[in-house]
Amino acid sequence: MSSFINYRNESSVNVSDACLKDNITFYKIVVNVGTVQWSVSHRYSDFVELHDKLVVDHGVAKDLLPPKKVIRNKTPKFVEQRREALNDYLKNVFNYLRLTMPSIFSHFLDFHLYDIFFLLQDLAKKLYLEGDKLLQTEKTHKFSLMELHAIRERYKMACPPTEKQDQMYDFSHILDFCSQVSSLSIEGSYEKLGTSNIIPNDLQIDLIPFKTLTDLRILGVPMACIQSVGSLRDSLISLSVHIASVETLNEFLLVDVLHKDPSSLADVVIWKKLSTINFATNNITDVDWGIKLVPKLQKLNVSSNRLSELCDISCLHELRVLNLSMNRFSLCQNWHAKIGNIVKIDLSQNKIETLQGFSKLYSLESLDLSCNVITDVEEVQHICNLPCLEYLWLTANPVASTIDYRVKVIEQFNSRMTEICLDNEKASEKELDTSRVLQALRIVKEGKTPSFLQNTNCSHSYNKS
Amino acid sequence: MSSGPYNYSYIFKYIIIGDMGVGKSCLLHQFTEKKFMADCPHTIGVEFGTRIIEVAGQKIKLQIWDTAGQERFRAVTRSYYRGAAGALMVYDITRRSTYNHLSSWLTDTRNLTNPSTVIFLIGNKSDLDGQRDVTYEEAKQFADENGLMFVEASAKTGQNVEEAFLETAKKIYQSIQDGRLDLNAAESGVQHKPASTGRPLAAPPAKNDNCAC
Repeated sequence: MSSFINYRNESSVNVSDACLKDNITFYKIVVNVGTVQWSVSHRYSDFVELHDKLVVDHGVAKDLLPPKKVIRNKTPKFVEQRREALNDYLKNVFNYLRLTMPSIFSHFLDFHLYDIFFLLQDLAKKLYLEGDKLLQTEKTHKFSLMELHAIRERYKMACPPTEKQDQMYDFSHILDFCSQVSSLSIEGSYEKLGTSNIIPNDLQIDLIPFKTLTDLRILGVPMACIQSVGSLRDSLISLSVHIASVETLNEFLLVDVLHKDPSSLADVVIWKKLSTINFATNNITDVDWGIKLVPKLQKLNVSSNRLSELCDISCLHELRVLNLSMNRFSLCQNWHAKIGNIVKIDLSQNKIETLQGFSKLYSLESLDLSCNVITDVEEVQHICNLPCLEYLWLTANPVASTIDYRVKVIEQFNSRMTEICLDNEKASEKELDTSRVLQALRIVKEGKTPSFLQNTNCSHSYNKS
Repeated sequence: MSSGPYNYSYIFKYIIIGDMGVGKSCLLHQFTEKKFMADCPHTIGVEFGTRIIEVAGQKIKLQIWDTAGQERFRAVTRSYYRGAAGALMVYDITRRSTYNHLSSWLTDTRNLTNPSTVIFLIGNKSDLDGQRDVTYEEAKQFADENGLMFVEASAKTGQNVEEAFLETAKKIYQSIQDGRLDLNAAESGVQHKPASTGRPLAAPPAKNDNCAC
């Protein structure tokens, strides 16, 4: 992003090119401020309009602009002449107005899109006039990376909050707004912004001005760009970070204390209110110990990552919902020792073969195992005694294509078979009838009392024989 | 959300200045959050806070710039004096040096603000009366000689903190009523805002504004 205030003397403009669009000749102006460059196209009549205002308000000499021509004004030779003339004109005016940079001129050159100072002037005006309304009506406020970067840079500038006569342009209005925003959304990009050579994701931003933020949504912004995340520890309730190439949760959760010894961390670095974390679509390979700094966590979504095992998260007493879909889980051993009072687990689209590891997750109500590699219907034996389980998905597993798959699964839940909702569907009367027949057959075959008669003391260590 | 916090008719700009460690950020925090910040980090450059108060039945929003006391930030903080309607000048009653520096802070303030800026002197840390290094009488005399308002306050207990911010606002409001303060001047640090919220963007007065958007 450019900073004209600091690079006033390393700035230039030139009319580099002319092109015909819809039979209208546009002149391409290239603006350079320091290393930043962008272009903007205007037709001759735009120059005339600008010039008239500059003459009246800013004392630009009236005869400076090349004259109008009505006929034969599209010949290549004429266009080239005019381009040169406009180039001279613009350079002249730019030099003359370099110090004052009136807003009509800065807008003509698109400074309000690419320059810190001018962008913030427009933003301040917008927030002064509309900020309160936005705070009342908007669910989430979206700042562009450009805006956030400009705020960060502006903070550091030794420059009064108001430069212009009109107080609408006061930088304070922006900070005022920021300090009241509760939900913020930031979207990154690796593509050059507009006609400039600015890549948004190269810009640094700082979350310090956001003092009451409860909800933060980041999309496609690398973590390295974002500073002062730690200042949100006391206020943040919900956090989502998507497509940001995050490799470990610690990257975000520890931020400023990332390199300190874990045992020396005090209560200060705990996320006091954070209850929802969504890190879907990143490159996370481990849910690491940093998660313990989020004691109030209720929902964790790490869908579409590279996880294959879970660390011990039993310290998260309030964790209820866990989304681990689209990862690389296969074994899931002894999960009851790792997860506490969990209610809902989504493990769809993993590589799970056996359900053994879930046999003691007694609080579980919903288990999604669709699109895994479970082949044996008897695997259900491991979970058929979970007392709260009501929703089970096994669709798109090899097992789901076997004959009588539904009744074979439902049958294993014995007396609770009417309560189970398998693959979004409760068992029909017909399926229940068939299940009961199957169950009778099983009893005969195994010579055992049906478990629904002893379901009051259903044993936890039930093993298929 | 109720429309309450968005209905205000004036914006006043404040600046808080004073030596390092006198408790400027804590005063701001106490005023905006009504809490004492125990281990407050050094302010880097400037900080910002806001709160809506009521003076004579008028809702007023205070936009407060809290500056860094460290000498190395002096260049940055100086640029924030301009356009301040109120300046809170803080010293620490337990450290004489912070009191001795007041005259230099006052010079800065007088030079960089406009004549109508209300300057309020705050002797902070009044809860530490046992370690007092500057007497109330002495500071009071200094304030009177220089035409400043003065109070001893404590960011820790919250004593007199509200009063300092409110009294400053009252004085500014008084200046507006008297016509001593010109609302239209950019340096006044006061903005009048019609109470109707949700005004469309097209409405702003075009005066002094030649932007084409």
